[in-house]
Amino acid sequence: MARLGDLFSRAFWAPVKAVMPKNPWLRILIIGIPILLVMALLEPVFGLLEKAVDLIVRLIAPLMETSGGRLLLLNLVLLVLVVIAFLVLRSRLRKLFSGLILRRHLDGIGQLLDDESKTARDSFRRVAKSKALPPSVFPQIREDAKLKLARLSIDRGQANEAIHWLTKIKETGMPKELKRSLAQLRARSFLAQGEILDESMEAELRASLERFPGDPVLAGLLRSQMLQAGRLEEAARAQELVFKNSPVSSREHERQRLLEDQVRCGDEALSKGELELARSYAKKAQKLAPKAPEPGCLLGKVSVAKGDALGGIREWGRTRSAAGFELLSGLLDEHPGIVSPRELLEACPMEGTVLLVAREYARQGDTRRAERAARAATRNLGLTPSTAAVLAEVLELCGRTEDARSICQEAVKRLVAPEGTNS
Amino acid sequence: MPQYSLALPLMLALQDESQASNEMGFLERIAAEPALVQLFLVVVGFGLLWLVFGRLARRVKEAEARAAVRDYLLAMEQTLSGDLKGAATRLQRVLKEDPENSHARYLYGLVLSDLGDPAEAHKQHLQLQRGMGMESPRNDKALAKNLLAVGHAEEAVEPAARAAQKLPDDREALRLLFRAQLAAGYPEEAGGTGRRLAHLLPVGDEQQRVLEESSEAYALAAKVKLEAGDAQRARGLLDRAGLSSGGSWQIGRLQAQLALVEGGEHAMWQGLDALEVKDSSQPASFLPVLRESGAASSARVLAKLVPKKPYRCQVCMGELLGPLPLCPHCGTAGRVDAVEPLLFREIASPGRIMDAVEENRAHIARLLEQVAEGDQEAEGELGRLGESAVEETLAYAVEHGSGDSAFVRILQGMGAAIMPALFAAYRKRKADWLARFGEIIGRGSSAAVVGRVVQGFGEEALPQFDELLGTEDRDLRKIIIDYFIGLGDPKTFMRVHEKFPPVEVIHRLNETPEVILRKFLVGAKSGSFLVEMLLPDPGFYRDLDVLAVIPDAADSPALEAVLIHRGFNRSLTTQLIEDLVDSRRYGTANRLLDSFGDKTIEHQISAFADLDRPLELRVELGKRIQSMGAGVVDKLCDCFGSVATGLDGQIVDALSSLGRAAVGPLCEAYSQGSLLEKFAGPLVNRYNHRRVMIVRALAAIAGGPAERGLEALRRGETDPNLKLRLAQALHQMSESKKSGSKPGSEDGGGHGQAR
Repeated sequence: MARLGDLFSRAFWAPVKAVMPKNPWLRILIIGIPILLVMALLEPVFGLLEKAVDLIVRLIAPLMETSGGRLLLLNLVLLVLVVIAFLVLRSRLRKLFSGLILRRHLDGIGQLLDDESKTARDSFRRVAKSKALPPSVFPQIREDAKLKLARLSIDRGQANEAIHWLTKIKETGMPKELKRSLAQLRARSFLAQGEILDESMEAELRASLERFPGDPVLAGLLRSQMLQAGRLEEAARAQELVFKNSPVSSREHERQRLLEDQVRCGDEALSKGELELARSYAKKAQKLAPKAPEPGCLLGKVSVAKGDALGGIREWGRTRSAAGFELLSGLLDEHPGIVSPRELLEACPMEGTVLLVAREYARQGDTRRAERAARAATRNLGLTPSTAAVLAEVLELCGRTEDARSICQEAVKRLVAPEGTNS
Repeated sequence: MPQYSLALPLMLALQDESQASNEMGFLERIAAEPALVQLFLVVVGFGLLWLVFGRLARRVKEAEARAAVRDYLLAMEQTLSGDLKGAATRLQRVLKEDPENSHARYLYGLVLSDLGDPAEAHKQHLQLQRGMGMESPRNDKALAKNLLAVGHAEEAVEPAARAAQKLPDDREALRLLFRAQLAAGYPEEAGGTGRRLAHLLPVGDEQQRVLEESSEAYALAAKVKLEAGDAQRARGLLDRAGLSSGGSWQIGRLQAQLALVEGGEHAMWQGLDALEVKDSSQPASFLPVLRESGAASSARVLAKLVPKKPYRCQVCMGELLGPLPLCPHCGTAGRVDAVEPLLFREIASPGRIMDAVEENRAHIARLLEQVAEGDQEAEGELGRLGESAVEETLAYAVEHGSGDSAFVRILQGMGAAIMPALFAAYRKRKADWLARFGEIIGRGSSAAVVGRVVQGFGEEALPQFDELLGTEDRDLRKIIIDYFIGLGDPKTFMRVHEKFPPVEVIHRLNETPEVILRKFLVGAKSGSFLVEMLLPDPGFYRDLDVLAVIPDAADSPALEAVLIHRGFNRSLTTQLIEDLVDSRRYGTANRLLDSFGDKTIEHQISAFADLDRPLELRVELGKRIQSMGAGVVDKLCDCFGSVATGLDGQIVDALSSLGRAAVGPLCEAYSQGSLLEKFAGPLVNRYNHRRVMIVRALAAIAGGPAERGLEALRRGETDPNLKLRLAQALHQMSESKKSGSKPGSEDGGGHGQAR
């Protein structure tokens, strides 16, 4: 039966529905006419109607006699027509105005994408201040416009204006995406404004993060806040969140920041004498970026702090980096002879270490070995500025100032000589 | 007519006026009805309202036609709030519904780019440009950015330039153009763009860095020009580079290069002394000398020309302290490299390097192994090591035999200064039973090797050997004799005579290497102990070396006399025959061969008959055979074989050159037959070829005795062929007698006679 009913409605009712006007009043009128006709068949009713018409004609007839009467009559008719038109078109007008707001909002977004922030701001402002009904497709259009306005204000450095717009936003009924933006912008504007208490700010950020766990922007703001407060561990934890949720394009950048945070924590722990904690930070950092030299440098520092200079050198050597060399060089400067040159090279087997070995021998007064080491380094590396510099230092330590000068001169000549002529 | 013509227009005019008054009356009547006017105005008002309404409705419809507008708006907000994945999903949906939404597509491209998919992002922006005709600078910027991200710098230049042209004050467009030009290899253009960008930036770090980068770009362009030989243009670019940065190390280096090209080395040094590098940062801290203020002036100059940080981005040339995966200046990933990457290269065997630095036994052993494999460099290195390498080198030399090995050469090259170490090593080996045992089963002995080594030393080692002269150590005595032999001074050698018996010396002389012995023999003089006692001794068997030094000897006759005294031996004779073609040795060879008498005849004839020897030598030997007389006829005839050979003609010539004295022996040889006949026995009766050759030799000698000899042979001959040959020879002789020419000259014979 239901099928039959469906078939009937499709076959017969659908064309009627298509022909019928969309306005409900008109529909009522069209449906009401046949009913009135049926009612007309009933004489009392007809007579009543006739009397009513006659009464109206009697009322109108004197008015038709004079110009003033006709004018009044016309105005009355027009008024009635306007009222009817208003009643009929009200919803359509509402829709029209809300459509206009939508159009303006879309224009504003286009301008935003075109980097025309000034015109975009005007468009959003008009949308935000509009009293018209919001479009049904996006009822939160005003909230969205206010968010955009707040964002533009923050970008211009006007935190107070941003707060003004954000305060006007009604959160009820907003989609999650907009709420997330609101939370971010609120935090950003308060941070930019700078007058909010750190505790409040932290609470705000943490609450936002609870609502939107893993949001990289909120986590990034929390990290900045923590860094500002000198709470390195918490900053690192926040940065970990940022790193985990960051897009691919900024992944490396965030990894680097996390690495820096972890190493910073490790350094702090080291300075406090918490060697195991420092070591754990270094290990974590190493896991995060196995090729980065910073964790290895930190591990080396931990080893040295534990009294294992050789272990430290080994860690620094593993980094294969200038930073490792720098630490190594610093250690040897501070504690000459802490390890033998052989141990030094075996722990840090790099071409550059041979230069340090040469310097160590020179400092110990073993000029022959120093020269031999410097020569070995030069043979493998060529006369680069570094080798020339170390060779010159070794020679100076050996008392051969003239040779040192000539080595440097040779290095300068090689640097200056056209490419391809150096050999 | 004229009146009528005037009245008609008047009438018409009056008629028009009346009509006009009628129309005016109608309008007045309408105007008098305010309701009608109001109605008209209302209708016009409604019409206008309808028009406006229609237009607005159309615009709204357009807006609403944007399907999935909610998705689009939320995606925009998601993008701005950093929720890129969510934004991408929404935008994908939007584009599926409304593919012509250019803003959504543009946004999608940006999101994809941020999500790390620049290739797909580029596709979206390209669609906007080509498919939808979007020629906006923002799309050009996005295109350039993505092209740069995927490494197509050359292609990125065009959209970036377009964007920069349309938006001359846009920093991002200029930044993109700058990067693209740098990466695409347009440093000069990049320099200009960098300057434009710097002018737009606020005063601060970023502006300074951009200025430095643009200077580096100019410097790079200058370098290219300089390498191409355009010094003038390079100078111009360098001046532009220096304007902003005030002289970075790169510019300093280029200025020096330019000064070198334009004014030579002097100008370069002058320029470098005057060069002021204004970089505030210190040079890379790994360069300790450069860090120190008290370094030599050259080191200070060096500091002006080196990078200040140990790492560098290969795209933007920005200097960095660490090997960051992402350049913080330009954002390029994976292009940060060490300025001196070799410094961080791993050493495969640090122990080896330390061994080399310490010059310990392991290092020496390694060098010796390399020497054994023929490494010349290792040989030089070992020679440089001196005393410290003596013991191991000696062991290797002993192991490789006492000959003239590379190890002996190395020890000799170390000079007499290693004498104490050498003898210490020798004694140590001698005291070590294992080493001794090794020498017994091995190829050489320490004494022999040390002996060889000391032979390479000069007089500076003499005092030490003088001290050792009295030693009773058998091996040491050998070494001492070897040294004195090696010294090559007969006067000094007298000390050996005084302390050592001749037989011991002769043994060492026999063992001495050729070069050293010859050097020693050159100085030998008549009346010396060497010439009078040692060299004539039968125990001495180095005749060939004595012979070899005669032309250069201080006293050649004395050495010749020694060899004459020592008498004939085969090897010496062979050498003497060889020496006959050596102008310096010819006289000595002749004299010695003569002195050895008949013993050498067979050797000389054998050499003469050896076609492999040089013709010059065989001619010389022919002359010698001629001078030997008829006694050699038999031996020469024995050189004929059973059949004809290429040698026959020369032997016939040699026989004929002996003249009439040879006629008798030839006739005798003819009748005796050859050795072949003797050995062949009953198998072959006669070998006639030998006889035919003898006949030819006789015919070539000519003259009465030869004719008579031939005649006698013809008479006694029974073989018809030989008889015919003999008759023929006699006929030729008679014919030649008549004509006055030599009989042999007409005979072609096919034997190559009288060459």
